[in-house]
Amino acid sequence: MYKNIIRKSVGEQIFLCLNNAVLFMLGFATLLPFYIVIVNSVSPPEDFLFKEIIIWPSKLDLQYYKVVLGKGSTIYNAYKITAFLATAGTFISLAITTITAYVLAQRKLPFRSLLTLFMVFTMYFSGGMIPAYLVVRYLNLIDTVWAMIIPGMIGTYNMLLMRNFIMGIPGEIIEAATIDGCSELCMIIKIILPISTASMATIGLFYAVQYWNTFSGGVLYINSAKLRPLQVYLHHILNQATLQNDFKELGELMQQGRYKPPSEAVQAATIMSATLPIIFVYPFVQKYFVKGITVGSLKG
Amino acid sequence: MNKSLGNQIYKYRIYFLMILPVILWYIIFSYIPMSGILLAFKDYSVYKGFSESPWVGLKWFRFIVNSPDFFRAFRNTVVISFYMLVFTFPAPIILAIMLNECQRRYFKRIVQTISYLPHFLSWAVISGLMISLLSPSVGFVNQIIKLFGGEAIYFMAEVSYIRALYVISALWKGIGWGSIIYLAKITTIDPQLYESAIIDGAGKFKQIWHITLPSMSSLITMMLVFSSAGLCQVGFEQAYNLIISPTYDKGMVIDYYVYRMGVQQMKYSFGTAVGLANSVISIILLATANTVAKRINDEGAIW
Amino acid sequence: MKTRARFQKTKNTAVFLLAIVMCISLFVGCGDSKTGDVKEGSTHLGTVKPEAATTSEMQEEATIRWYFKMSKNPQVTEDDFVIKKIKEDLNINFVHMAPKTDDFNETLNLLLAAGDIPDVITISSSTGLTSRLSADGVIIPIEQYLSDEYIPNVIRITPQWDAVIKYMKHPDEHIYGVPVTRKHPHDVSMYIRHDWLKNLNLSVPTNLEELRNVLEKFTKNDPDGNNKNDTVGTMIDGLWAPTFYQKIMACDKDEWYLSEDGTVTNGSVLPRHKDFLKYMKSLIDTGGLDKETLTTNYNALTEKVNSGKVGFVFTWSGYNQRLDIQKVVPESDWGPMPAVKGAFDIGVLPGNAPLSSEHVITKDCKNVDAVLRLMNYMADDKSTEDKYDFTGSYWYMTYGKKGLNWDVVDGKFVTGDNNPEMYKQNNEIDKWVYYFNRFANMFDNAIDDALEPEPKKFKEEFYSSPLISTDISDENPLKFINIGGIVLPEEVTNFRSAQGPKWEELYGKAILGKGDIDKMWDEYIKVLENDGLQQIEDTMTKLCREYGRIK
Repeated sequence: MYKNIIRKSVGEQIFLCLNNAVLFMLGFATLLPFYIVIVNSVSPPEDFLFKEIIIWPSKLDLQYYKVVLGKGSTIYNAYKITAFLATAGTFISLAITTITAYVLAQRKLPFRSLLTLFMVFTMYFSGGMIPAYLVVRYLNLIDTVWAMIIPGMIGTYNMLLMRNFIMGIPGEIIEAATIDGCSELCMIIKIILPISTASMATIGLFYAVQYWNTFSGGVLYINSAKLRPLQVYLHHILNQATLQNDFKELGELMQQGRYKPPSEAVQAATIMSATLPIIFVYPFVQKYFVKGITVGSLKG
Repeated sequence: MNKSLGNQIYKYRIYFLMILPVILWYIIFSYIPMSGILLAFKDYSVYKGFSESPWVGLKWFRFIVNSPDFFRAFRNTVVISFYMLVFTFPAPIILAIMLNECQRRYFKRIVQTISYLPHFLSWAVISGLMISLLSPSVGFVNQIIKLFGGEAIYFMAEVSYIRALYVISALWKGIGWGSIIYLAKITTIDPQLYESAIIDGAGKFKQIWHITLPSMSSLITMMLVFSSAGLCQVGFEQAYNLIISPTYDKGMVIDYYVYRMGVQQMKYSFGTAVGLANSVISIILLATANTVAKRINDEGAIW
Repeated sequence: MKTRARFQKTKNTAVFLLAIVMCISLFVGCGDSKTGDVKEGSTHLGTVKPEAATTSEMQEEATIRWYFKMSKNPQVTEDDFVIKKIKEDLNINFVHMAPKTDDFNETLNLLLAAGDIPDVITISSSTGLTSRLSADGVIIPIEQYLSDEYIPNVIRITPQWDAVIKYMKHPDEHIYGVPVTRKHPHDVSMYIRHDWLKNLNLSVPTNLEELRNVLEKFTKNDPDGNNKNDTVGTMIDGLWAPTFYQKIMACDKDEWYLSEDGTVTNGSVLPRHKDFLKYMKSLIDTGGLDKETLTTNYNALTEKVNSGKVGFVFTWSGYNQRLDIQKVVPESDWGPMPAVKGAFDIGVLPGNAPLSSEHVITKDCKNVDAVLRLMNYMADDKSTEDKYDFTGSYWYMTYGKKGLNWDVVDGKFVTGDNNPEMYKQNNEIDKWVYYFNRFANMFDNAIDDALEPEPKKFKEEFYSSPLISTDISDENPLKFINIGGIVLPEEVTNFRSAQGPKWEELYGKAILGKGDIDKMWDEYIKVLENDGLQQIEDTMTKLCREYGRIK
């Protein structure tokens, strides 16, 4: 509020101007590759032949999206599975991660270092693919949707980030709540959660993206086509499309005497189909980046 | 002593209860499979199974260390990961601060959303784009160079540029996504601190230096500790997609080298041995960094 | 403030409830696929027990789990046309176990470790996998089944069956695999823009120097007459394509040759490999070869060719179908040309190994009869009497003689490798062929014959040419040694692994002029010697003598 009243100094104005300029250039530079992908996904095949890099498509051509998305209902199944993973998986992971982080945030917890090391160690040491597969198999999780959630449920790195945030909560708030007679559960739900919107949103986003991008779990633990997550499904499509042999849509296109779709284009359409949905999630996350909850505001 | 420890445990009993299932999860899904690491010391035949495969001790480790280009790959890995640390570690922090200072709301949101887009592109796609961009005949960069009267450079084949390309491409890909966590941390800063600072007459830089950065210090320390663990690692995917044969001298890194040497050929034990070596080095670096961090900023240390 | 916290809490509860509802609903929905039934023909990789034999007078029902990697389709499902036909005609439930990743071996390891062992595995013959599996007791010897009693069709369509079988014998005198041979081993061709040759008044090059000259003119002299500097002589993608040039010059880095002093050595170690490097560099220096070859990928290359801007490529039958240039540039005349003369003044058309893979049967297979039945069925009786002179050559080398191996018909060059159009989709039989081909990819010999009812006459002459390599390789004019079927010891495969990146570096630096080729090659040899080149040569020489490949 004060900022609007006090006039900015010249130095500040220059700073802000430079700031914005750099941000603009950065935005442009990072948008460029994505722009190229988007344009590739809607350019007709002729453009790929006669231009080196396509700046603007000669006409809008949606055939590649038909190729990628058009195989009847099967892709919607993949979207469904992945949506489930991204919601249920995120929810489960977030809940358990928060609880774990809360426990490890207690500075006076006995064996705190040991417990933390116990978990951090697993980030660097792993037995490899075969033992992991055998464990999942032994638990009868093969070919279930849970095989893509449970083995990766807790991201130790995310948990430590959350722990850092919880440790950053001002001590007065905790004390006040304890004095008011708050139990642990009450502490988590009434105090920690409302304050941690930023970190919950961030870690939630990390998990959501991780689940959305499920690939190795989907390949290793899933055999039935009905349970394939999106990335695995699209990977198959891409393989088929680039080899251009038995893909029904492509076959029809070939028969019509049209050009075989350039693989770059099909790849671009695949990328867009996979990443667009998750990109739209972010604006919702941004809402939770609310600037600073003051100590005062919690006294209620 | 015992009595007091017992008391502590009792006092914190509910916490232990809460964390018990988590510990169980780690045991089942991380520690039990870890026994597979022992395969690094065997010559694993899948059919013979674990117990029947013969022990070979340090055979795989000797094999890789004695191979012709190992030390060159090792040197490159260390140098490149060091450059990565120096350049790609501070960048997301700086971006987060810059975004935070931005006054125009919609501009800020748009830039923020755009900046993390490359995170979603795979290294294969990014390398394809780089090839187009840096091509000596048709690439944008070389067109500019020619405009200024220079000669086109085949960047991707020049050994002197490869390390820069590693860093620049990693920066491009990771700066946006990496800034998200720092932005989240910045929003937890009490605005009253800024208000008092302004009243005291502090300018922008002073505000950043005395308020923003210190509030992030424990997070920065923790992230730095984690990054240190990666000091002897350069991602396989990035290397595989980026380097071509004339640049092997400065661009070949351990993960890719090891892949060519044996992982390709069903040498499961070999792959496990390499993974084990990587893990040991990483954990040593991590522990060292953690100890240093404890001295400087206790909150930032991991354990 | 209270309201905000309470609002937050209600939101949380709502999300919580929603999540629970979703979990329950999807758990219910997904429950079926887990408590799985091992449906017939399903691709479930669990423990599939073969059905018990019925007492019908028809064939017994059986289930076969076949592990193979198909490049053309990652996974064959039970809806597949061929699977259904197999069930219909043979009463066999075919289960395709596909590699989960791009790595054939990775998934196989997994299956073996978990005890989900397939019944049959199709293995590419160039790996030592068969010997490893037989040593571990995973697969069973099958020489007793390789007779007319069990698989007459397979025997009939495999050219020179006896010679092939000889190469499939392991040192322990057993045979573990049913051979899969390629129909067109000699299906690599050089294709060139004949209209450009005409426009520039050039004749078809007959040796490497002429080729280089032609390529340079293709780049510099505007062969398509559009006044733009946008054409290029040739392009190469990746590090495998130079192989063709290496074969012509008899110094392939992946193959073994008889050197001057009578030892068997690797192609890259021969002094003439330096000539190869210098030749490739000269192609770039004169502009005939696109300089950015190291960063060119397959798709970019195809597109450039199809846009009519490239004058010459090496291609093979699968690639040909992508050369749709006629549609884009109708005036182009893109056709094959005869082999150019290379090393020893001999023209070479490199080819693929006739023996491409083998089917091995595992210990856990409970129904070997069904497997043999299936193989026989796939090798249907549409084959003809094509004769191939297999005589032990891993690669075919031939001299291009006009009238014998190539000819000029109606003013056009034709060779024996005009590849049949494989993907006509107009009627039922072609669809069957199409599906069959892409699924089987194994016994397509018979199917090709269905498309070409008359055997090509010239092929007999072609393959009976006196200059075809024979068993005794020091009579091979290119000094090439066939090592197909030899089980290579571990130190050789390790050596070759280490050699790979080192050669790539040599090649990459050499063609871009980043050093003196003679010096770099000497250094390369020194590194190989440090890595044990001498012992490897001795080992290989001994092995080749043992297996009768050299005298």
